[in-house]
Amino acid sequence: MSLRRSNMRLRSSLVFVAALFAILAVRAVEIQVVHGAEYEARAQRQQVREFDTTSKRGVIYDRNGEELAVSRRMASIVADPLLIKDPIEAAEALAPILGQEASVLADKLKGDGRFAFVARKLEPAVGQQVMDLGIRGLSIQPEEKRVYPKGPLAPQLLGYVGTENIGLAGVEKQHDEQLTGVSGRRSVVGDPFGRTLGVLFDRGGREGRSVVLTIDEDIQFVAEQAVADAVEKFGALKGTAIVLDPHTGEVLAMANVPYFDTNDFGLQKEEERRNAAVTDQYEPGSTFKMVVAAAALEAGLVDPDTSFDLAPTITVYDRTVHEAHEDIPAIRSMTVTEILAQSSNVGAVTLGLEVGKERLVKAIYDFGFTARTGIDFPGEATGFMLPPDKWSGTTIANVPMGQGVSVTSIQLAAAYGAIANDGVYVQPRLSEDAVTKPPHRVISREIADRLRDMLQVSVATGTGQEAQVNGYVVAGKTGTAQKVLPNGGYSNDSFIASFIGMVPADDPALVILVSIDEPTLEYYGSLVAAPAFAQIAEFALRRLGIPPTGQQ
Amino acid sequence: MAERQLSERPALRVVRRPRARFGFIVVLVAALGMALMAPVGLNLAVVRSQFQVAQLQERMDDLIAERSALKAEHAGLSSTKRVKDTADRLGMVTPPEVGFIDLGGRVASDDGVVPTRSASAVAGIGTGDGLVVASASQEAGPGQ
Repeated sequence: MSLRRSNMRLRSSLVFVAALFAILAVRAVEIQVVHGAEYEARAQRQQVREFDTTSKRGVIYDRNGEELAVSRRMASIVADPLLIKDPIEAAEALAPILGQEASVLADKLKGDGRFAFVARKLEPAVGQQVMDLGIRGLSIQPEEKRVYPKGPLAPQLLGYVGTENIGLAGVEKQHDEQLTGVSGRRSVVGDPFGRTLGVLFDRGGREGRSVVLTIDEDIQFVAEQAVADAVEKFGALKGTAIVLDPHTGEVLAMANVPYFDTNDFGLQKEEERRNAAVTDQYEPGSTFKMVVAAAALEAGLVDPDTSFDLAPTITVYDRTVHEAHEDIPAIRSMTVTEILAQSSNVGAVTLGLEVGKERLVKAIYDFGFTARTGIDFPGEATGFMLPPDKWSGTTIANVPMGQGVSVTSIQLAAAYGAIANDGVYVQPRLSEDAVTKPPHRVISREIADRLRDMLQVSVATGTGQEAQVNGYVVAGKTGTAQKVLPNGGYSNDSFIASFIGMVPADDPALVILVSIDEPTLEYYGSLVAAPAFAQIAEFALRRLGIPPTGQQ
Repeated sequence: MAERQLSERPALRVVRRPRARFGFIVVLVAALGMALMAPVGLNLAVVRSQFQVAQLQERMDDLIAERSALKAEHAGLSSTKRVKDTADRLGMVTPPEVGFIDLGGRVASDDGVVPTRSASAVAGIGTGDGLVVASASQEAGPGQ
């Protein structure tokens, strides 16, 4: 009896345990199989965070390997609003660290979704400060921030990127595809306090490729300083300088003033962010007289010593052209060289009439005006000239002295580059790997040589004497262009003072253009721009180790 | 009849009390326990490894951040403007003249000897500081 009872108890216990196990098994099946997917999804949502890891943007180097734009790994604070119990309290704790209004932060933390940026691209130490608050639902997401370590160096040239690291202007925009890598993806398991407990996967992206510019940091710096000094000294609005290697088309410096710290580009006016050397066009004035002289020489109509008897003025149809200076004798005899050296308006128009419309237009096109140079920079302007069939009778009186035609500084520098390069035009470029059109001959070697000799006289005894550089022979041309008024006509008190030259004159290594917009205290290119040219040339020649060639 | 029944009754014998099979149960429980704990232990090991990986990943992120910050700082410190400002502060001046060693139309460079004013010389490749020799008139005062 006792044994039976004992067996009964044992069996009952077994049945009871079995029943318990059965219940557990049923529950397990319910959890694992019936609702398994749902619970898994809920767990994933709570614990797993998946996000893009921004690819590191390529570095922008100068020609000597100096870093002009780099990327820094920063900390962005992201929130899972669902996990934040008290958004107001959290916002008040965050506000002093992030320097944002608590109400603004609270709005971000109250969002409906599961993801919100609270603050982006903070210093890593600041990110850690936030995490140390121990606020449930906040975590750090690493992001790349573009940094321009040289500060106010070539800001308009380098350009800038947006919050998502997409190039918006300048070299950053031009080479955006190359600089941008491929984003990675990372999935982590975390606790509600943003601490990462495990990495589920980390598909690394591909870093962006670097860009090597033709710019030389030191020459760029000196060019900016020289233009800034001229702008300040003569009370000008702004200024531009280009330093070009005429043999390779490499731009060694492209300065725009006023300049600013590229890291603070957002604080600048839109017009100050433009690389005016490429995107802005203007009537060049006397620096354009080189074109008519080249056309006349190339056509064999004149040689440098051909002499013209010139009056103080010349009238073409209803347009009377005067000289810039008033103390002109009634009749003077000037050679073509002197016309250039003294920058005679009457002489240039006389040459233009001699050359004729067709040959002049051909020379303008041949030197690359009215078409983009193709420099690897976004937003290049084309320049402008009336189509030849729309020329009026007086156009031939304007164009030879650089009126009625608009050019960009880079077009002008490239055109003078052709003269410096024995008559061969080389497309200017800003990056080492730029794809360029093959060089082509614009004028014969002999004519280029003659033009350089004539431009030497301009600096030795003409209007460009302030451009002389100790120990070197300089060839160049001054320009003082009246600015065009918005409603037509030319201003009598707004000028663009410029100088463009090449050095050493016998075999130029550098072409340098300086253009100062609206100087107020002086306005002649000879006084305003030529000294800045000399300042840049002196430094660049030393920097590049070009030996002196003898005095002017 | 009753006597006969009594005489036919089997003799009493002492039987051992059946021993509880504790050994088997212990083994069974242990096996079950092991079966339950093994995946838990395995999971723990995996989680611990994942945690370590996560920590290492964070450390790597920190180091990447530090490296990029240092690179940016280095680039900033080597900027021409800073070098010039420092040189000015130290009273250094640009030599008013520079001298050149004439090697008969060829210039010395790191890459050997290249023709004067070749594209590479103009581009500054292997030239520059090595080519420029300060003249003897370096003692000229500031502002010269």
